[in-house]
Amino acid sequence: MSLRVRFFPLMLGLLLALAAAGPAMAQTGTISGQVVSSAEQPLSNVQVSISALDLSVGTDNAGRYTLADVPAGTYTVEARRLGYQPTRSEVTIAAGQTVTLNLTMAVRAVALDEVVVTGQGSEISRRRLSTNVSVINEEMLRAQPSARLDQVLQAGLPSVQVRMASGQPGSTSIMRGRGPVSASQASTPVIYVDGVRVDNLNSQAEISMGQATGTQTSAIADIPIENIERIEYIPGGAATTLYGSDAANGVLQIFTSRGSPGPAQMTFETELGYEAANRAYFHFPQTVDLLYQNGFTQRHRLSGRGGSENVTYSFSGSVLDREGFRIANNASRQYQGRMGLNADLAEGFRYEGSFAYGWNHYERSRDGNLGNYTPLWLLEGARIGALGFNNNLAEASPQEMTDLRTFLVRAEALQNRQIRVQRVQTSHGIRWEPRSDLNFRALIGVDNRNSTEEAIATNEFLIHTRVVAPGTDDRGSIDRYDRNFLGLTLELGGQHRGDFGPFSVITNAGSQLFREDDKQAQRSAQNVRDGSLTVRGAGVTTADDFFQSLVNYGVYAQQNWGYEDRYFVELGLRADGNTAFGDEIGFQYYPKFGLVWDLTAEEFFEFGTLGEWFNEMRFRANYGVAGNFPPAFSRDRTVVFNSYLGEQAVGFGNPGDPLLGPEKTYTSEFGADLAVWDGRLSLEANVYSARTLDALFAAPSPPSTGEGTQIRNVGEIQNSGMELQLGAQLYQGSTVTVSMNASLNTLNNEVTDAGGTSAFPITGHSAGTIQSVIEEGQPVGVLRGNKATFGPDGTIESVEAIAHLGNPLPDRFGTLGMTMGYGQNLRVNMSADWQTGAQMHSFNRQFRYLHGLHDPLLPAAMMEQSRGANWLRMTDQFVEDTDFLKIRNLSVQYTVPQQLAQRIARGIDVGFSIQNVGGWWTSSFNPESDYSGAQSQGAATVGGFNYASDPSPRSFLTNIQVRF
Amino acid sequence: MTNRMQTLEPIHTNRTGRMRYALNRLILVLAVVAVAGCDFLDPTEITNPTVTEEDFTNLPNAARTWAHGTERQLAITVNTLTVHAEVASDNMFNNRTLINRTFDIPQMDPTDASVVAMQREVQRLRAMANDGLNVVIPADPDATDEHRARMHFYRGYAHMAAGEYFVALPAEGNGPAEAPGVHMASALQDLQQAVSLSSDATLQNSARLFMARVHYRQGNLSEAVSMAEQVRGSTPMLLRQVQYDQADGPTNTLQFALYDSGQDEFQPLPRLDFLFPKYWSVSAADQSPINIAKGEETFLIVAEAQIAQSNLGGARSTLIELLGVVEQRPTAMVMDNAQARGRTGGTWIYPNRSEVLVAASPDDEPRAGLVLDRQSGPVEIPYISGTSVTEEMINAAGSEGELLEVLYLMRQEIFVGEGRRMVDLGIRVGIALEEAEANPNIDTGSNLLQAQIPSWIPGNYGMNSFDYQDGDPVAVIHHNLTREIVQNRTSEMVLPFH
Repeated sequence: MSLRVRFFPLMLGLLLALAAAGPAMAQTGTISGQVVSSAEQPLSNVQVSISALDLSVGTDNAGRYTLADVPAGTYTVEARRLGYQPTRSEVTIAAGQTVTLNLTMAVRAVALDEVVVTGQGSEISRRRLSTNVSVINEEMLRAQPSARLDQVLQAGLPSVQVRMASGQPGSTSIMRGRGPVSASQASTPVIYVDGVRVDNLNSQAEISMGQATGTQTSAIADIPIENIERIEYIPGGAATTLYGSDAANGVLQIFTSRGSPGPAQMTFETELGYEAANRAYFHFPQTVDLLYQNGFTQRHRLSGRGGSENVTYSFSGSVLDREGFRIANNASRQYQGRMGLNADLAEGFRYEGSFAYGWNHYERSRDGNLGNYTPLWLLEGARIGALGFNNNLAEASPQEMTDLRTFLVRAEALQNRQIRVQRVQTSHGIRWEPRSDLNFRALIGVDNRNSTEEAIATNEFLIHTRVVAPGTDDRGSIDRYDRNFLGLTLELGGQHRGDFGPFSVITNAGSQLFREDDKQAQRSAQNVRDGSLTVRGAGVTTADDFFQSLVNYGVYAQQNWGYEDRYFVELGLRADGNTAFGDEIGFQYYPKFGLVWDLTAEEFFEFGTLGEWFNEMRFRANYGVAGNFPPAFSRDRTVVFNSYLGEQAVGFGNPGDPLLGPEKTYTSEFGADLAVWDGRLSLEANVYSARTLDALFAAPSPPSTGEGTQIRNVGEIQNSGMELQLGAQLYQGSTVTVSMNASLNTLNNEVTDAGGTSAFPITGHSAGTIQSVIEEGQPVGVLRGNKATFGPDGTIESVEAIAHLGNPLPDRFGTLGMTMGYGQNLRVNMSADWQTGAQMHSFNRQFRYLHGLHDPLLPAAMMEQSRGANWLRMTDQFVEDTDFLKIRNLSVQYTVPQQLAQRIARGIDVGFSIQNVGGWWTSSFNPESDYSGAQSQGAATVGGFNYASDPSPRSFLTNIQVRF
Repeated sequence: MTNRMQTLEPIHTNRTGRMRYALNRLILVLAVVAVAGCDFLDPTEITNPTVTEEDFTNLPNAARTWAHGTERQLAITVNTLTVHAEVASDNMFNNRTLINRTFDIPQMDPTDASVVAMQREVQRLRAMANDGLNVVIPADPDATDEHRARMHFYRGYAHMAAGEYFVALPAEGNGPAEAPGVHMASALQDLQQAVSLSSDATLQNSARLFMARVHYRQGNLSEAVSMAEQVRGSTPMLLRQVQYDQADGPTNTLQFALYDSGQDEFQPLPRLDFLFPKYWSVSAADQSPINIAKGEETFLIVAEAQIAQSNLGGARSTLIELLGVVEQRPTAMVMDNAQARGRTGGTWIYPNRSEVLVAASPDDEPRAGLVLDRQSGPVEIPYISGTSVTEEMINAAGSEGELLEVLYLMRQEIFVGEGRRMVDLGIRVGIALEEAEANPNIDTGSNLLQAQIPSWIPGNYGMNSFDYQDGDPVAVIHHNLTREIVQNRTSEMVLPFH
């Protein structure tokens, strides 16, 4: 029987079983009304309930609800919705009477009791969850204008560290929550947009222009971020168990707007400004004068929303044009649009859909370890002397600087490296609510990303940059890399809410299937004459391709039991099959278990001393398993066909492993949520311990076998830490309000068992220089290289090879934010993040030593020694602590008073913001410029290498938003 | 009929009814689409685009394709051994970081990726030849004796390399560490089989030359001379090369390091400057081959045996005859003005003018003609074999030691860039820790993980160091390692006939 034949009946059976559940309803009277926001906008999807009667119903697109069959009496009606403060109202109803109860909900400031979407698209009150969820709402998104998702998250997620590897547009980042749980896979969380799993490749593709030692392109950079209403992040562990074999790094869910009933409301927004390099990040300020500029940037956006009682819509489109902060090869342009639609198809049936399109164009510059003309290496690494200029820019004469600038301007003009990306994302779902306590959801969605990377090196460029001799006409080259990613997500799920006396039970069950197809191709030409932009007709042409495909199919079920709204128990299980699993691996199971004790609901709390002090007090504990599936096809033993001298030549391919399965992370977590002083001070604390067993190690086979690297389930990795999040309303006057938030996360990471494999590198250079390696007893990605011991005379006495030089993972990190409001119209925001305890290596510094510059951090005697013979013998000297506190965003938003604005519009907002403002750091270089390249597609990296990489630019932006 | 019509055409009395009808149709359409699209959703329809090993052996002409693939692996193995052995000798110094730098010290740690790469490629060649003989050829009805001969030739080369370059290596996957002698014995068996099965004269003579080399390295004087004389008598100009492929790889790393990079990656010892670039490209499509068997070696083996037997006159005659062979090898005019000889930020500034003399050590007389002036036009390069040794030098070598020094200088110059000098210096690579950690038959604390670096090899980059500054008339090399190994010729690590 095929897997298909077995899988779908299983899904169907599960759903029918769910549909049969649930008690019948009683009938007596009716409460109906409308729920609106503080801004008097109708709110759909609000849960309106009477907990005493176990009655619950959702509002329609017009915010309307009807609670039928209500026995006579006095009740508390409660309304809850994502991102809004729950509201309660008392109502008395007589038999046969219909009472109208309209409710108004305010946006939450401190989100301790909101409704969140966790576990495959089903809404649940956060109060019932034993795991924590971080949320970025629309208001927070507006406060931090940004062109890409990971930058938005940088200071917005309190327990996730996001590091932008480079200031080049579209480049990769490192995103990491509860430490690197894998030694072979990137730490990037899986990303869902409107329930559809999207391409989250945050490293070089298998075939691509980027390489492990230079800037690589990220698929996260071009996820359309238009029309986002809300972002939720759940850390890996019990919270992500229901996502199965793909969720050990956590899950990021993006929800887009689908509008609300009412007349069309249009918004036009213009953002103008410029980007500049921060001089503090460079060794030579002259580098900024030579290579950087103030690059103009503009973005224009038109959005709208509205709808009727049955159909609502929302759309947003923008164009972004950046000149770039480099004098050339840094520009980018982006067109994005997204529309969302909700429609009531029939009673109980609702269609929910969204469609997005993005077109992106980025320019690229050579950087990192690309060699030859790599301008940042030439300048900051003092290598420019090799081309006949003064190595030491600080001592260069005005004439030398003019000559160098002339050389660089021409070289930059001759560079030609481009990336183009088109992306289509769409999600379509039908929600069916046959009863108020039961709903089903069917969803289908696609993410299609098409990218082309192109590097053209003309003979003129190579001659000008002294790579080939003048007169050369046959060394021009063209490289084009195409990648087509198609991801398909299908989901069928349902939720039932039932109450049995003091017990309330929420049951979720469903099934999910996703497929990924990744097709890549390279077209290259050498011996190309200048001016030719096509490989056709070139002296030598070559091609390559890569194809991988996989399907993951799983079923899941979860129950959340509540007793008197104060004790909750969660039980869940997901079972997954995956085409990447070995032949001898069947379905894989991921269980979870959680407990919650909400003291706030206890009588002794409400009427005791605790209640006088605390508004919220909740304790949580959970245990859960989440996985990472292995790369497609790595289970198979294959041969590889090569062309060699024009003939087929076969060789060993993948060694294969029939026992290949997912690595599984087992997480235990304890947490507490506290709020005091009317919720003005809130604290969320989590302590977790996550153990990855059967960790996938891409360890080489023993050399004697003659075989290559085979990814195997052999290792064990331990992560543990604490997450503290503090929110405080510091001052709340009649006109001025000041609030702040801060987070502190600790991280202990160790490869506890290497499964008999020898230490192997994941990034870096050769063993004699510096590498980031996987080694038993050490943190993932520990830096290794030569460590020198100096004698009394200050010269090298001995050298320890492959010594441990530092840990690129911080042991503490967090965020810091502050918001100040003045009246209803002025709002000032600041967000920052920080880390301590990490180290990083600076090749720029090491090269400056090699190339003859004075280094005050080295023993003075080493200035007189042979630099060529010694520079790599003391690599430890170039590894530095990288503690930092960086202000990511500073913004001021002003809402023009209504009486002034209404003459021309419904409302006008103006704002000013600075991104990447600056900060404090302990290293002699920017602790974040990090080429960080994973060595293969989707592979693990923790960074740690500062080497000829652009820092993120500082942006000064003004914006005006006009609402019609 | 009426009932059926009513079923098919319901009367929609209100909006909800119409919507339900539309919804039913929508679900029907979705169901049809889902069924039609099932192949896309069916996990069993996921197909690996790469051929599995099992499927390959059933393909036609599998033996021929496998043999060519093993030839490609030979090219990879030779390239890996050569580039690292050249760094781990006094032939060349690595100025940059793309290729191993610690071998220059020399330092060969069991954790070094280059140590791993050298043995992995040797073992892969052996394993591929093994699979060819045991899996692919038996399954292919069109396999010939020539295919079998080639497999034995490749496996023989792999065992010979294991016996020459390494302290010890396993002879099978996860097998125990075997001493060089075990590998050499296996090499002889395979090479003899190759000679017997093949009718290709170049393959047969190359195999005989390798057998001579194996016997030479084992100190089997009479067998080495006998085998060398067979080749010398029939094909003194024997040349077997491995080819490199610019378009599809593998490429010749030394060509990149010596020429294509244009960044002074590798720089030759000043006394060898006239032999470089041994590998270069005229057009972007060019990849230079590497010589793995040359008739010259038979003369060198015979001459060294003659010296060992105190037949200095005979040895002189053989070496003078060898000069004639070298003279007959082709040369090429190469434009090499991109080489700045360390003037683009290298460790040392190398002499780059033809008037500069080079002394092999502070005790040696400076010699002229060893440095070429590369900036004034193309230079003439003996890319198969070249030597600065003259008939006069051979005749002037009166003692056994002096003649051996001339002979080993000729070996250095004739084999430069071919990965042979490291072995002549007595250096051998140890077993990689990666092997020991995964292989239950090898202990991670074993002495066999340590490289063999003889005491006469100077540390701290001493093999490559010299005194010279721009404008100096003479460059003085710090250590004449040819003299060192001749003086230590009774050691088992060098000069096998002594």
